[in-house]
Amino acid sequence: MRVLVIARATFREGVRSQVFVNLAVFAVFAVGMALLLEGLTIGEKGRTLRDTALALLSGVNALLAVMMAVQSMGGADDRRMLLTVLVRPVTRMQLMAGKFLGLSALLWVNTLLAGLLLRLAVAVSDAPGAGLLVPLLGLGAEAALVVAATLVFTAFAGTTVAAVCGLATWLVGLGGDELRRYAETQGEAALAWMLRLAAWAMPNLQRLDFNAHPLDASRTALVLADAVVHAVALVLVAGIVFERRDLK
Amino acid sequence: MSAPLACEVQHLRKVFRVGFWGRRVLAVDDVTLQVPAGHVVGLIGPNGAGKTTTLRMLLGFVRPDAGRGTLLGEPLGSLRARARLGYLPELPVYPRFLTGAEVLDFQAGLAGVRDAGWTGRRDGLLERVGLGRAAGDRLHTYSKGMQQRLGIAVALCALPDLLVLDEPMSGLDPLGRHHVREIIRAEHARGCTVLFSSHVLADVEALCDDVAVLARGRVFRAGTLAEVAAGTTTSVEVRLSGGRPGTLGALEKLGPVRTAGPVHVWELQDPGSINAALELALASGCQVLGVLPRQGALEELVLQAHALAPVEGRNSP
Repeated sequence: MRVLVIARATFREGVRSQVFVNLAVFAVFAVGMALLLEGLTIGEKGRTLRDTALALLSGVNALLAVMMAVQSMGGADDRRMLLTVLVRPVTRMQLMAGKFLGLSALLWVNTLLAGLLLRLAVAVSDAPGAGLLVPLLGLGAEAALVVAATLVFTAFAGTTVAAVCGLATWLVGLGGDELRRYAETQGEAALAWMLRLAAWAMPNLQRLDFNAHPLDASRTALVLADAVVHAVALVLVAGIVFERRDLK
Repeated sequence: MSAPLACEVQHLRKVFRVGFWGRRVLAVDDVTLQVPAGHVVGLIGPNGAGKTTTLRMLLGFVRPDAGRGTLLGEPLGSLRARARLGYLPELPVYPRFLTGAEVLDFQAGLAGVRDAGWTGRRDGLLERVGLGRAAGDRLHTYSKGMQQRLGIAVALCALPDLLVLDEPMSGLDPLGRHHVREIIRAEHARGCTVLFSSHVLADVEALCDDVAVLARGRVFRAGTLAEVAAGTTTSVEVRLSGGRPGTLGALEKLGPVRTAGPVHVWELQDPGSINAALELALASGCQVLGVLPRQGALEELVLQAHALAPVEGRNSP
């Protein structure tokens, strides 16, 4: 399976280049924050630590997702690297799928390891640490969606535009429910239609925030399944668009 | 009957849109090229002649605006053809944090040749390109020349029927160039077709059966080395000293003479006249210090190609 060969190489390259630096920074920050909050917060200090750390992880994941997706597809050197892959019997769709799987796996591992560190920090601050796994699953899915969306932009735009659009997608996606509600309140039909289209096309990351909006198991599974479908659709779009691009 | 073709392109044309305003730049105007199977074919021409774009259209990286072609009997960009292909891009880049052996494993996985005997073949390939000791080192520790050698190994890893090499000698020291020349000769002997672009004309003359000279997005001249060189002149420079009074006037009948201190530099436009010229010089009391060919036929062709008037509409078709 050539997709898995590409995914494995992308994962391995990413692990060796960036993830451990990111983890070290996050660990220092999380533990530092735990110790700081323990001294400053009155009541609910465990909750504050948990919310802050998960929000921080969401931001770090999004930045990493955008940066890695743009780097792996868009940089001048990486564009030349793609030539050595695409000269093999590999379709551009397979390349996109492989990159998506590799980068997503990397971000999942990053999220779970950061979650372990967070669990340690929670233990240090003597706060309730139960139920971290589901919010971490949500964060992993969020990161994978940001990777998929950014890959779409790298398929037709330069690195800067792709990075800006990837980050914008993350920011808009965080307010996905608000965007949908706002679309419904518009009296102007054309504007409402456009907003509905944007809300439909943009991944709704707000629903994946299982820390702020906990759901029962079946609804959680449904939201995660929806994220998977959305990610697959985005990767398909990225592959189709990239198929038409000249690799100068 | 003519030899079967490993690849051919007919009337390829490509215009790129560059910059914010989408300015049109004509990269390839009209390229028709045939690469006979089992031959070594050199693609030469000045910078911006369209060599790399032609190769990238051949390999399916760039869609031609016009024209068509075949690669190993399949349409351009075909996956089946790519399975039988080895390619070295100009200044190749591979994942920086993988080792040389891992890059080859990755490429073999993509090519579908990672079978039971792969590890032995991989190690042999790395030895062949002089990277045996560096096989376990990550690529960010490799020099430019080592990356180029790894690129050659990558191109060879699937035992290709057609090798496409874009500036294979780039970044290599003389020993590396010698290795690559030997590899190209060995692949040719194995029956592999080799198509390579190069600015190192001595390598092209030493290796190629056929040559195509590109200029301003068109084929300026193409054919066997002898066919392409026909009609070009190769001047010879003879360095002399001494001589009786009036000697220079006699010599100048065969070619212009410049005098630099005690040395006369005599330029013979017709290399066929060298024996008669040397006899004349010796009879005139001159001492022959040296005889140097001034430029090869390919160099002259490239210079002629470079001097071509711009193709109408180039950069603004």
